[in-house]
Amino acid sequence: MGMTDRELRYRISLMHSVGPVTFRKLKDFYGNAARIWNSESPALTASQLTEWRLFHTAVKEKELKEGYTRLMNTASYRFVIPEDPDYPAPLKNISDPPVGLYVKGILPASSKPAAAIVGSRACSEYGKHQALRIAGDLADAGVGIVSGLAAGIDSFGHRGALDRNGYTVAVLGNGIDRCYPVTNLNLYERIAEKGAVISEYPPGTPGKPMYFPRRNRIISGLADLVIVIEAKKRSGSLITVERALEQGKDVMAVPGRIGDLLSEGCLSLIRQGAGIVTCTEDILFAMGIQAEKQKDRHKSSGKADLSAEELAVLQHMSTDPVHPDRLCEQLDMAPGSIYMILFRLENAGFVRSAGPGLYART
Amino acid sequence: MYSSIISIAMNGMNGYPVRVETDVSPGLPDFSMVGFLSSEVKEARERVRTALRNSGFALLPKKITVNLAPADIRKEGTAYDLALAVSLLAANEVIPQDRAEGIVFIGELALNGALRPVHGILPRVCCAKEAGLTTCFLPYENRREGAVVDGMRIIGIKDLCEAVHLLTSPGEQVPEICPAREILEQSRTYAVDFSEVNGQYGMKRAAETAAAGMHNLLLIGSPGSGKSMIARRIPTILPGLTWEECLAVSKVYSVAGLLSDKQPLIIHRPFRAPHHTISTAALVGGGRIPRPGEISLADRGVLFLDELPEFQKNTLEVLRQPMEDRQVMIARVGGSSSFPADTMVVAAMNPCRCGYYPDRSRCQCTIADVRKYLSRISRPLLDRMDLCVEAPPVGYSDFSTPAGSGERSAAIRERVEQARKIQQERFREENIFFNSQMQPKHVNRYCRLGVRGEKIMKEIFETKKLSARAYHRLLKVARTLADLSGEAEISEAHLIEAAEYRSLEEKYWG
Repeated sequence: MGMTDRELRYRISLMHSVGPVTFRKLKDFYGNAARIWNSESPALTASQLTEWRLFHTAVKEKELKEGYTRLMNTASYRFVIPEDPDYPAPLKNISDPPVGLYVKGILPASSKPAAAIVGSRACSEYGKHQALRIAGDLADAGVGIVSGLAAGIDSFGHRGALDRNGYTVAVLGNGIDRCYPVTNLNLYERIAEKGAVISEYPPGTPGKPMYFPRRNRIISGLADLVIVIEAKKRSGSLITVERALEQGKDVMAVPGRIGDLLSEGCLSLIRQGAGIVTCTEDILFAMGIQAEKQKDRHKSSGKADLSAEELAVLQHMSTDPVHPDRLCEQLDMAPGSIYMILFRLENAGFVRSAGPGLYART
Repeated sequence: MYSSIISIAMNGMNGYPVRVETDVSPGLPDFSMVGFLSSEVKEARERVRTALRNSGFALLPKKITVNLAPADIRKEGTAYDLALAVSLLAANEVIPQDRAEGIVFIGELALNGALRPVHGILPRVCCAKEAGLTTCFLPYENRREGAVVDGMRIIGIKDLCEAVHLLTSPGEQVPEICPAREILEQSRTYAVDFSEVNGQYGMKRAAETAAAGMHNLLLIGSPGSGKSMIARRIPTILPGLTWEECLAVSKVYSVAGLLSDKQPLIIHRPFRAPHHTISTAALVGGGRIPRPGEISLADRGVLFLDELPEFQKNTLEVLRQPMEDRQVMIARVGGSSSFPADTMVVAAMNPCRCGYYPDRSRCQCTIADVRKYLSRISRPLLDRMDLCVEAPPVGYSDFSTPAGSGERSAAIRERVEQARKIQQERFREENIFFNSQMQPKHVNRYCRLGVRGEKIMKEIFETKKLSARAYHRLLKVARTLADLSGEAEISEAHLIEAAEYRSLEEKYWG
């Protein structure tokens, strides 16, 4: 019975108990797909064996055949295995490569550099800004952004790259046909169109807490370097860091203020020897990419064009978000005039809106 | 013998004259009352009979029939007791019928013959005036409330004996005088003033703008950032009540039973701040006998909803229709009553459950939590909030500087009055009064932008990532800002400032 490697991998991917490590063992032992499927390896544990036998009933067999035919005929996603030419080469080198990948979009080219951006789901305005900026600058330098489509830093990493027409990959911890969190649906669709959404879990799998740490190895596996922006002391991002270190990837952290809860993870990473990100060039340097002199894309004109009032407002601002009331007080101006100046500065790229009712310097 | 005495019944906010007819005829002794009466009116039979006996008047053992006309409208309340007693006495020839002609009797009787105050005196007296009557006998505690109405002789009486005495010897009737207009002119001062608010430039400016155009206002800020302080001072910058407005507001309070001997007239713009556990009926009005809710009590004033997301969802949704129509219609099987609701809604809320978002060093809420908290306020309700403004986090310097350094309410009120005058002039031929009431056709007519304005508008939409829904609201607010500065054209500065007050959704998720 001639079962292809692809079909075998499809079937294994449906099993809950048989994961990448067991599959690698089976592959090493039996070699060929039909032999793997038709034998009951002594390496299987009791629970794995139970599921294995369940998959070998006649009823299930029919179901699996139909499922595979459907998979081959669907246009919404593909099932990619290591033999495929576009299978991401870096994943072949990790110790527990996914059995197969469900893919929507275009997989990253192996020749292109990629960086992972991970961090807190409940990020601050600072984290949001840094994620958008770093992802955007890296995208400009031709670096792909890998992340996990979670809320917070993940989604701003993806967005930063997409906003500058960059390439980005989202690795999901649930089935490829689902978007979690649903608030990122719009982003999910943009990534599927311009980059790739991938998952090792079969379609229909709901997001469960245990799935997310497992997919982190794919995030770090796809990237040449992992950048952490805002993580608490015990954060899921630190699992990605561990996986990255196991895989021999570089880790860099964006520092935050001492004392902020969201800085603790990053600061402790830096103390342990992770690279520190002070600007995007640091990252490009670590990746061995010749950094072109990044010109500030926002600032269309120099400060010379600003009026005295605008300069005064700008001087009273820092990269920390500030409420216009503070500026009214310090400069003794009416709120209306302050709003007007802030709008002009924002349009000229010197100031950005930093959360509800707040402004900061870019 | 037959007698007929006038009293006034209430339906919602309006009174209508009721004739209490009594017939005493020979037959088996009996006392029956007809005229579509609710049980408290039927019980008047026992109260009145006992009160009469205790006041020294004995009813003859004859067949007594009482009718309250018009007999096809349901009568409720205890205000007919006095009229009933007088009618009985007239039918028994204790009081000459002609002496009671043209007099309105209102009041509840105690068993010992004393008179107790009732609700709704003001609208009842107004109704009596409209019906061409000139004299009212009212309970003593209600006399000042009744005396507010011009051209009415108000006689406050303490008990039934006094009423009989005054009716039999008319020379001794001393009408109550309430110098209501003078009270109104003299007591324009408020206990609070805007000058007590330090800093908070943005919120103050938004409050001024909202007051000028009668826009609804949403204040967002962490606990203790001064949201309620600002809201409480908004009535002080609204133009003072005119005499007509004053009467209209007092009528609602009268129906709700909130006027007293000490405060027979509402002379300040109302400020109502119901707690967030309030029920739907208490907020918009209701009950078996419809009574005005908080939104009607805030008529021509401010309804302040503190902790907006903590209100029950359906309670808030019910506000939508009155906010639009500026009146509340309450329909009952027996008919519908309408209450005024021409109010400015000021709402305050925290940005999240803990109140510190987006300050991540203090706020531990997840983005989903924040979204969930903010989404408790439905979009249709948010759309009715024309201005939305954030309070800055409070720093030490804000309360360390002595209060009283800010601009006084009176100065702000002057600008607001000026802006309202411009609006009055503008909408002379429309059936609206304020910029906030403009419909799309009005916006197209009165908020035209020049070429330059259009260009800025486009820039604003791109920079601030506004949705199309924001368009009209932004123009309305810009119109008010232009009116405040006395300019005919909406300028670039007005549009930019209006964009600063854009909706919560665009600020948080734009």
